[in-house]
Amino acid sequence: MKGILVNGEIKTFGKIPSVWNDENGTHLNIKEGFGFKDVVTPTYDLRVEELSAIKLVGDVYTYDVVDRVIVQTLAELKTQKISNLKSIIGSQLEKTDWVVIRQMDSGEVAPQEVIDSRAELRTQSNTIGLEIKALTTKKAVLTYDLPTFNFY
Amino acid sequence: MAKQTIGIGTVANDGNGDPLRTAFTKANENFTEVYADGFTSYARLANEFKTSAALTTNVDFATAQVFTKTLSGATTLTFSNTSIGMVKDLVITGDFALTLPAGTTVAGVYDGTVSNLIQIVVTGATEYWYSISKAI
Repeated sequence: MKGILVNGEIKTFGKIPSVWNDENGTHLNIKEGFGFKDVVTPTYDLRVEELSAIKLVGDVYTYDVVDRVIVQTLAELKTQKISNLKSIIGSQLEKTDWVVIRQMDSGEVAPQEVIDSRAELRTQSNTIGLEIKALTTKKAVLTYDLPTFNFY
Repeated sequence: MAKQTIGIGTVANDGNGDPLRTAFTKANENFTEVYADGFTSYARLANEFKTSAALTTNVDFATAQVFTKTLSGATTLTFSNTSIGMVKDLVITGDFALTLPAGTTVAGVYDGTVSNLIQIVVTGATEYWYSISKAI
């Protein structure tokens, strides 16, 4: 990425434009120079951080990484995270709901591995739910990665 | 045929002018040639409309129609003797930055790996439109 100062404002481009106009004329086939400098984007966690306004540091344009303002309360974030967890668990359970329903309707016994998997899902759901509830900061909640499941 | 000039002597009635028939014959032949070419022909155009010239850094619109240049480094071109409505062609090669007088609009992308045809249209006192096409 490249940046250039134009009328007091830093403009950024994915690459140097194929045509660039400034007070010196119309420039074609620019590879470097003409006021363009590299833009260095620091790595940051989009969930809890954001980039400041772009600025010149040395010979490159870059950003500061600052904490994102989180308007939700800690409790609200936990509720949302647990809701997401339940949604994930629910979608996994749905895969084998028909087996349980069939057992209820026809008496055909559900395979033990299905029953075990569903029990394991609920156990993990409870465990993870407790972990989320125990978190003490907004950042911890937002950066808590829910596991992926691939049960039946 | 070269233009035939009617002899008119040095002063009136000096007896050195062409006879009347000779004079109008010349006039007719001149007009016949002009009309035969549809009033003009490509060959009659001035060099600024029909010649190609190697370019240094100044595009003199009064000297040629096509200008050619192989860039050997970043180059800035200037224009001179422009008039509204003029159209000139630059054939440029070379993978270096090329700066033209500020143009209103540019279409196309310069490609340093091939020959590029940059057509300039003068639309105002210092206003230019550029369009770029490239060899394939």
